[in-house]
Amino acid sequence: MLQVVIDGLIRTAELSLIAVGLTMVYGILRFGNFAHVEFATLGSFLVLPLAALGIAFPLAALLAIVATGLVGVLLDRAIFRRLRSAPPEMLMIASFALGIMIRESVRAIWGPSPYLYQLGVLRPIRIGDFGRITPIQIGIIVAAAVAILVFHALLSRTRLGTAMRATADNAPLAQASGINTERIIATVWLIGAGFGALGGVLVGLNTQVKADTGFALIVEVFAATILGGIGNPYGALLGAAIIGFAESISLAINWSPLLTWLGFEVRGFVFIPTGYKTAIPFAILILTLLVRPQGILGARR
Amino acid sequence: MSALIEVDTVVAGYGENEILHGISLSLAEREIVTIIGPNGAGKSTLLKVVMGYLIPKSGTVRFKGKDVTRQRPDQRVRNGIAYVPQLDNVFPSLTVAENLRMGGYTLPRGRVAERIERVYAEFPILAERRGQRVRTLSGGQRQLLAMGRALMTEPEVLLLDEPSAALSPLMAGEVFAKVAEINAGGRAILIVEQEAARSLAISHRGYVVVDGHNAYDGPARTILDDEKVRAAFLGGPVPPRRPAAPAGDGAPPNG
Ligand SMILES: Nc1ncnc2c1ncn2[C@@H]1O[C@H](COP(=O)(O)OP(=O)(O)O)[C@@H](O)[C@H]1O
Ligand SMILES: [Mg+2]
Repeated sequence: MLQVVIDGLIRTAELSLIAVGLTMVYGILRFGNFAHVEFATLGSFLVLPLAALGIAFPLAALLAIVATGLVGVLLDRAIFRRLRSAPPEMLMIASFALGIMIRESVRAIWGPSPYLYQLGVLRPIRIGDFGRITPIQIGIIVAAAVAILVFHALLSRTRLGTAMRATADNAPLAQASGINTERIIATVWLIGAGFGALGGVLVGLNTQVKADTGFALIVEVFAATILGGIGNPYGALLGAAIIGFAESISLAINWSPLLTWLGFEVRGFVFIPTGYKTAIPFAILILTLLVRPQGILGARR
Repeated sequence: MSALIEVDTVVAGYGENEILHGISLSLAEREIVTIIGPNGAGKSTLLKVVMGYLIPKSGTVRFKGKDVTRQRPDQRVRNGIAYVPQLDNVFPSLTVAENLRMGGYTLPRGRVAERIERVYAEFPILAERRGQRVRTLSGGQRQLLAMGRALMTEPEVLLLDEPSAALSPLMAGEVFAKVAEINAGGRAILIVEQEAARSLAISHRGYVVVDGHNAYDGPARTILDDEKVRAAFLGGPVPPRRPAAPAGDGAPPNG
């Protein structure tokens, strides 16, 4: 039971950090950036050379996150800025190509085999009779929670955050208010790619550092974003929580009573094999598009 | 009276599609000028050129004698121009107060609160709704908020694109009364209007734009009174003479 909650929280942490950036870039530039999940991959790998230099892990992670954020800004300048007035399909195709480039560059530089962060041996902590949680798992949940709270404070309480929301609402009017919208767009890339990198580092902490870390999450991240209402960062958090827990719960439960009730002949326990877990966000994604395409918190356009 | 804004033989459009074919106009200090013309004539496009959303293919836009043709909109705001688009002129997911705060984005931080209070004093309905999201406002309240947002910077020039469009006649009357009041406070205003008679009634001068060309210009009263212009572009009865003399020297300035 506790394990389901921990798994759900960790999944929520990873997905929400990645989804927030995807949804923010969509909110301002109005295109789904397929390359976004690769910021997670890039961020998780950039920690490796920094850690190899002997930099303490948290600092190495922070530097990798900032570096990834800057990569996001540079890619916008180099590619997406030239396509500002292009139709969204063109931007999406460009982002798809860019995603392949980042993913394969990572594979070319670091090779095909996965890496592990060297953090030494950390003992799991028992929580009564419920189960165990590792210090790394606690760290993942705390890091994500802090990042999200800081982001919320930025968005809701600061002048910059209000300007980010204003630009997402209506970029020409933001310009008519004296906001340099290109600077706001750069800030959104910085934060979005940086949060994606943090998400990737957390995936690396929880499992391994792999070249397909981001790509393996693309359905989950898009499903979370669209479920919550694309363009709305709070929607992305909500969507990530729903997807994260839907995954951890549906992997943990025994489906045989339901199947029997539906009239299927089943014997013993029936679990969804982990290899098929992407079916869950996919199903949620399709259901969302059919029932409420604007998402839970999305406004009808 | 020197010209605040001078548009000089501007040619502009969207991509290959040329909309303005060499248009000129001027706006003097403390003046209200209305641009009228049939739908699709390029009036909104002209305002976008004045604000800097469109860079003309040729011709110049000068503000206080300085060439600003290539300045970005946000830079023009800093120099003292404000703009209220016809549609989408507020931030729908922001509160009323946040909309005004964004209007004051270029102000020194210490001055924003004081300016917001001034706008509330001018538009009391906005003060009542300060914490509400804009989605919940009526069309008329949105138009007032849009003007309040634009006035946050105390601009020297206010550009209004069809401020009365989609409003009830009563609300439109209120909006025009506000516009006249804002002008009486010393701000120059350039209005694009379909509701030409009411807008000209509070204006010093008017321009008629047809198919991206200057078709006619002169004192607002002349446009209202001129049978030929009226027949071609207006229609309807002549509204009552403007009660108060315009700000400045009292006589409609000539361009
Ligand atoms: N963003 C745009 N892209 C392409 N064409 C446009 C755009 N906005 C307006 N137009 C075209 O420019 C012409 C003039 O439009 P506009 O300036 O809005 O006219 P008006 O405000 O006088 O009604 C119209 O033919 C319109 O279709
Ligand atoms: Mg128009």
